[in-house]
Amino acid sequence: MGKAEIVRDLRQRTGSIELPSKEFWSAPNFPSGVARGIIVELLGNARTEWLLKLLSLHPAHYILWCECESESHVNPAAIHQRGVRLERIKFVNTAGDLQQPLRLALESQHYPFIIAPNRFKEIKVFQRLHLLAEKSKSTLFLLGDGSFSQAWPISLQLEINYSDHGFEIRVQRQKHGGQQ
Amino acid sequence: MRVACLWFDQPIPTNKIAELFLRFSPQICTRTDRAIFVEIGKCKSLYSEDSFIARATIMLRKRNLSTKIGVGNDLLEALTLAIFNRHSMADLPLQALLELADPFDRDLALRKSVQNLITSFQDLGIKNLGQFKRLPVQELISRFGVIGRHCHSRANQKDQIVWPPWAPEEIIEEKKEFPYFEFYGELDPILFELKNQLDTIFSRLFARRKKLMRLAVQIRCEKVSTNPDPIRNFNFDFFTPQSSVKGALRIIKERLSRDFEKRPVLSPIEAIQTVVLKTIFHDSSQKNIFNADEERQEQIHSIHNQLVEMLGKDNIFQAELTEDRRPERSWRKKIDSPHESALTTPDITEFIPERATYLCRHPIKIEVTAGFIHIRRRRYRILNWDNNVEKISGGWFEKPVPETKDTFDRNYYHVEIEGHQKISVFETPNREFYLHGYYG
Repeated sequence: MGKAEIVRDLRQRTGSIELPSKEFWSAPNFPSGVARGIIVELLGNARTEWLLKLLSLHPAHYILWCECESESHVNPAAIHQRGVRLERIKFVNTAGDLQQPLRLALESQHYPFIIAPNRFKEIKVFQRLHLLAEKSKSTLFLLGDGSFSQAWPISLQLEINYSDHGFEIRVQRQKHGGQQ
Repeated sequence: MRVACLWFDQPIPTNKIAELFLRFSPQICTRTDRAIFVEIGKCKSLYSEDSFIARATIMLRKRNLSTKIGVGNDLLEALTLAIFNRHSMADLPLQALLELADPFDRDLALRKSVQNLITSFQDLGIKNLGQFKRLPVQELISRFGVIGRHCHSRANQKDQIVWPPWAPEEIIEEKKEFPYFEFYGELDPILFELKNQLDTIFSRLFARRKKLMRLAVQIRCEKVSTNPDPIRNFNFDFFTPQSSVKGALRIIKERLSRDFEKRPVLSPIEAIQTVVLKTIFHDSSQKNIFNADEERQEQIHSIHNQLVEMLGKDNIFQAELTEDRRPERSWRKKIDSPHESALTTPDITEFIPERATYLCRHPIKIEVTAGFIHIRRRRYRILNWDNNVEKISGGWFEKPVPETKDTFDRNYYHVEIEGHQKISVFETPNREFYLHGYYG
């Protein structure tokens, strides 16, 4: 049981259920869902597979997928095989700063799902992105490497790994609770 | 017939401003630099006179123009009511005869004669047009000849005025010169001026039912020896037709800021000029209030344009599947149409095994020993080596040179290494192994 479920269970018992102020995306193997308008950081060796499953559950929305110059890149054929239509996705490749394209996409409010590698260090950058995400109700998924970021504007941090029975999800941080 | 006349106290470029009124009526004419006439009677079921006046006032106020508007049964009535700000022709001062006799301000000799007539009648105590109209025409002819007859028929609205032909300018162009060298080097004042110019340009395009496809911006700086580029030309070939200032200005800002970073402006700016080079027709029928898809698509195209400006054409793309079995060639970039579905998408899902979610840009050579994989001199324990092999070979047709061998011949395996990381490796005919992708 995730932290959000525990908190909700405790609130139910004490009779003080707070109505969620956020809207949520339903997510595979994660009953509390992913809130809209937040920054989510994903780690683990199954993070992209899980994310693709989430995206396939919400087929009506556009996706902006940012990538930095690196040794590997996401494979569109694999995305198609996981049930996500490729015409939904706009791929953005950049060698430089990711902030500008991300800000543009968030400001436009046309991309409810924005995916990018987590290359940010400064808290101000996260704050800015968080404010924009909140305003546009877009969820910004940052794909991290190694360890979780300490930046407080990240509302949800999940480590997703393969296990024998599918995905094993460890919740590192979950600020907005879960859907009812 | 109902005619609206917009009278400007200060000289303005009426030919350009008149274009804005094409949205109300196609029947327009102008008096050089001072007045615009619009026939509004035929469109009375589309808008009322009051709403025309309100909309016209707002449109002109946006451009910092103040105007006096008169509406009458013909061009003369509308013009004189607008100039003298009265509600009926009978109340007009005798000076109005000047405008009635020569509404388009073309004949100086005629104006001089009419002015003499006005002075004579003012001396006789006739002060307004109502009194003038009551005078018998034969007396006017005997004292003032043909001028008297002309003024009488114009005052009694007996003459039919022919509307001079007017057509919108062929080239849409806006220019502003800065005589006092107020700034240089800063981007914001330039953008501020460009916004004004684009406002007018898009209004003119809207009235013509056009959208912007190509635009040229020229920034002319003072010629000094320290500035090697006094004239800067920027050509914007928009990816999708533009119909709003907001989207176009963002693209222009992106380009200008990049250019100013590379080549700073080293002398004061003298002028900014914007010219429309290419437009396309667009249907300006009534907006669909139940479906905003079209607007949404336009906004998405605008974002696409901005991203292309920011990062280059090749870096913003959609992916499209191909029928090639090689993972690195199983898709290609589609750079021209954001979020448009491909006409024929080969559905490869059923024919090929599940691909790795990430591909290495270049396959990495690895070594496989008993129970271990060595990737970049690091050893990983093999947890599971899937014996289902995917054989991919062919490509001989790609290099039709006899000495070149077949381009590829690979056996793909799925391998799970320590940490439950799944990877995709392939083996070549000479028993070399390469890492080509990974899952997750």
